[in-house]
Amino acid sequence: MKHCILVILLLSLSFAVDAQSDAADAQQSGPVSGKTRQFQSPVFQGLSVHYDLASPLMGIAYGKVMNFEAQVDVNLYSRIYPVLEIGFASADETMSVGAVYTTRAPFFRVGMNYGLLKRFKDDGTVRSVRSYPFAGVRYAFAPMNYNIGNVVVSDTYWGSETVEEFGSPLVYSGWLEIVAGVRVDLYRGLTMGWSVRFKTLLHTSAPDKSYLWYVPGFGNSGGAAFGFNYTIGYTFYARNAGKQK
Amino acid sequence: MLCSCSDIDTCQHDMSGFGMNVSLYRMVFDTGTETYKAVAYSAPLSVAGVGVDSLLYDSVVVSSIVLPLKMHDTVSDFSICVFNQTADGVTLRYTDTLTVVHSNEQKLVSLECGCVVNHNIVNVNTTVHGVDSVIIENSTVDYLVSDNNLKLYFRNR
Repeated sequence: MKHCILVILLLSLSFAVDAQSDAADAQQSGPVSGKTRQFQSPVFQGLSVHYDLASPLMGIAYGKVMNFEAQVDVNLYSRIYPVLEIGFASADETMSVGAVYTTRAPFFRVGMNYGLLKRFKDDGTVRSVRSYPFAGVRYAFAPMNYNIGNVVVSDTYWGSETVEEFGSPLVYSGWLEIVAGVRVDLYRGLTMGWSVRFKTLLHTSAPDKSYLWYVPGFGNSGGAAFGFNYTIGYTFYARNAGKQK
Repeated sequence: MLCSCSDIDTCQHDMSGFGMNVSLYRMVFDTGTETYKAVAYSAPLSVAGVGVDSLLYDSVVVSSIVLPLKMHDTVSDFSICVFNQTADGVTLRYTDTLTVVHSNEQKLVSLECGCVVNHNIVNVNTTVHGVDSVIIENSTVDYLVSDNNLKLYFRNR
């Protein structure tokens, strides 16, 4: 619940800043309201395809987790950016008690970024928004199998011991992410971006959340997870992008 | 890149001291009502698993005991030795054997904690050298629950 409140606060803040600036625009530019002008046609402004460089590098450094992900977003009004992120992750971790956790699964995130830069300058002219800060939310889910092996069941008093394995059928896990970041146009559509994420696990069909040492795309399920992405890709701008109809 | 605030690889559950809880009683004859009634047990006793050298309780006066059931077998036998307390020390009065038939269910607690084995008591039997009777109060032996499982009644000798 507190995470939802944080999302609402973030979005409210961006809208509040926006509305304040638009009011100034409206005073300078005539009867059309600033809010209307911010979302004026053309709707489609471009499409970006990005690949995350941070995840695989950190996975290699960590040695036990591999994570690859890419994202596609659509630029609407240069303010709203619906996003689809797809990735694949695997983990192979041996705990101090000897138990081994393995998983490999795809994950998917859908959501929206909200550009924090206005499309219109204070003098009423159209701004070409190609680099911008943003805030956003994602709903993510991972259909996954996991296996917990080499679990030693030791009966210390009676003096017996067995080694057990606990596998899973397909289970689903879903989580919420709050995102903030920057997208920068480096050169004629060659774009990079970075973002930080706060994640909280919402639900899982696993028998117990504590069975999931690692959820692909989310991380360790034991607590709230943070994420960082550094992406590079290409943005296909619409021909009429940045022009006012 | 992913990281987490959680304290990984550390078991957060208390997995120790888990077993079948047995309350001990002594049957005494109430001359006023001319019926037997159960009172708290008060003689020293020792308890061990049959076939195991290690004692669970060693000549102690207790009103309840916790007995670990076998994780990989469905019959657990316990030897219960009751002593006389004298000025010179303790002397063995009698020995009874408590037999518990149970089912076992492995439960994975977490990756960090590993596995526990919960039990369901199917049947109990005892020799009656000094023990009067035994009844099942709660058949579920679960590491999360500390309810009493058996009531063991001794004769007043």
